[in-house]
Amino acid sequence: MEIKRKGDVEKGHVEYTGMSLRHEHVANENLPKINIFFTEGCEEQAHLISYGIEEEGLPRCGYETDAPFGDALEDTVKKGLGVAIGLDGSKAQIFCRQFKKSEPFMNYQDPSAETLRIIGKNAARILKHKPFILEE
Amino acid sequence: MRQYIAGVDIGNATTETALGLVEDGQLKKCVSGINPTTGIKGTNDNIKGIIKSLKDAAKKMEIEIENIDLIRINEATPVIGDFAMETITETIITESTLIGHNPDTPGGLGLGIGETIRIEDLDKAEKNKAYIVVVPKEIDFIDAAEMMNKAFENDIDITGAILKKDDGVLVNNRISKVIPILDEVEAIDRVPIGMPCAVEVSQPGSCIEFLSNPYGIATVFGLTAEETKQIVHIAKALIGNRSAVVIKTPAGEVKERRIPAGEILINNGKRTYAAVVDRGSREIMETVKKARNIEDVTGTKGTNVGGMLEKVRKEMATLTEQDYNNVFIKDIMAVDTIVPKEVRGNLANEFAMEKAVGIAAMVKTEKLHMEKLADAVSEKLGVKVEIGGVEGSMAVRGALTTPGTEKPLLVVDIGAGSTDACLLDRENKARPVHLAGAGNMVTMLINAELGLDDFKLAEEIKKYPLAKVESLYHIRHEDGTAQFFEEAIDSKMFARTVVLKPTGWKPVNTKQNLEKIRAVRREAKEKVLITNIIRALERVSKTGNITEFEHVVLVGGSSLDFELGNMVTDALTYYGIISGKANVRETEGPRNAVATGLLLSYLEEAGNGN
Repeated sequence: MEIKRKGDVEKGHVEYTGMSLRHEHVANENLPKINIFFTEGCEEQAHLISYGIEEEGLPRCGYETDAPFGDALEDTVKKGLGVAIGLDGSKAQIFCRQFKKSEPFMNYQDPSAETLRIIGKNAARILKHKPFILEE
Repeated sequence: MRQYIAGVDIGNATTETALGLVEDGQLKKCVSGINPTTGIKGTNDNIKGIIKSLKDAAKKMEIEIENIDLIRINEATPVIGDFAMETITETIITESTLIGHNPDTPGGLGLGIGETIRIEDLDKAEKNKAYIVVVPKEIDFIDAAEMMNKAFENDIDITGAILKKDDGVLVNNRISKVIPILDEVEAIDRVPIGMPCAVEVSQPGSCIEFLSNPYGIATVFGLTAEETKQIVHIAKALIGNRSAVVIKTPAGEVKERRIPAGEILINNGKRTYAAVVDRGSREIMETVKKARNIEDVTGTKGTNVGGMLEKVRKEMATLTEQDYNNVFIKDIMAVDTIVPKEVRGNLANEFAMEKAVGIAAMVKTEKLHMEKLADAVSEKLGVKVEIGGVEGSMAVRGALTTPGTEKPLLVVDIGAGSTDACLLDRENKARPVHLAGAGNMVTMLINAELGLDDFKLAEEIKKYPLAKVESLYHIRHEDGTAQFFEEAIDSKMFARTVVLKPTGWKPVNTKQNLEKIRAVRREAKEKVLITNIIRALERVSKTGNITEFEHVVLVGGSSLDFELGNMVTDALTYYGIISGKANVRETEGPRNAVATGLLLSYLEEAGNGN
């Protein structure tokens, strides 16, 4: 997953730490993506979410930020696919433009590694119009 | 003279009352009451429901129950129905041979042919051979991709992969060659290693072409004509999939086995006719027709059908407190169906569509103990209670209050276990018939054909219309119309087909789309209910020609079904018969026919027909 860090252009982000993946080489930079906003230290979890999105076949991008939930909400409103994820050390939230509310569409408290993958899948499924994976 | 007369119909599901104010032999006012039936029909447990139903009506009449002069209850037809499903074919795989698997997100594309190899053994792979890599749960997708990339660098020809986890796209995105990758294979440990194997993944939105074609499989594995015959069932099971794997094992064999399902023996008092269940419903129904006046039906012991017929007999014997040997099955109905059944010896919970026969049976005995019930009600309320008349005849009398009807009139009451019909001819002679196969059989077919394994959900699918949740704020009904909402729809319903129950929606957790569910629902109703209405007409017809009838009216709670009325009208218009739901007393719809009939028959008997 492509990751942009604090202080780079456009929100100050620069650094691209994405893995060298075949599909990302060909991906259009301007392609709308599902953006994952996460706080410092949550990169691993953000990656797990991105794997879920990737398995569903959608483009994604990660942003390190101090305000992951506010940024995610803002992101859904102003541009792109209208789906974004906020993540900090204790929770993950999916925001969705279609939801038409200034609150998360889905909220996950202390998600496990498996749940993080599901979060990514569910975010993608909003756009793919597929039923969500619901945990018991 | 001023009298309050109540007709009370104790049904299997509801107890209905028609309470009339009779002045000088004339019916001046009539109101209705309804309550769910308490306990099994014909037992003293019904009293509670009867009182509540009477109270409901008395309240509308603005009187107390004690003011009622006479209660007439129906002479319930002692009929009980049951059903069973008998699978007559079974796909069996000895040793592992196929994965007719359809994961949500397989990876890669194309057809790969090679020998199965564990990913851990790739370093031992030979350069002049093609391989299909088998990746167990323990190996992460990043490691799997690295190992495969390394093998590619070493000129190892990997043509496809089979994964346990849902990582197909992730692996595909990390390897340097496009190969078909099938994931979410549950029983990966059972995939045979060192065997010829083919993996096929098609483009999103399309189906596999090679492995769903017997000759495609024959081409891949170089099969003889004889061997190709054996794999037809594999190809059949793979039709419509986006991805699949077929593995050829030396002793591997797939066959469709016909299960000996036993015989149904139909006795008409003169001779016994035998119908072989695994030849399908047509033979059974032809035998039923041949036998005409059935005296009793039995089934081969040790088979589903034998067990089911005995179960119905036992239930009825218990209910009526009669000797088991004096209970006889008077009708059966058989319907062909195709049900998804798990393939024996499968690797990823594959299903094959198997042929099955659904069978319903109907038992009729001596009278239920309605006299006992009448006495108990009378004692409890201090009101005179009498048995008013036979259910069927009363239903016709009630149904005749529907505007636009006239004699001869056939009334059809579709219950849960049996379909009851009664013809009232011009001479006021009633001819009742009771047929096996009704609402529960429809539910069974829906449950089986959609592979739901949830009878309650199947019942709801039968009763209510469907819709697809297309966004968080709108649904599309099965007739194509869209409906928007101000509040967001529950995320559990998102992108699912839902049953629009009046008390709330229920998601149908199946991969089948709305169109398929709707088609199964309507087909089940046609196979059982419409067929039974036509059977009822044939039974009561003197000439066997059903076009002699003019009016067929549906009564009872089941005719409240949202589409059945229209389906019946549609089917019977072909025979020139006017049909539809009753509108008892111009106000009650199809409900309250028997109760109204009980009240009206009192007036007729008193010589004061109104």
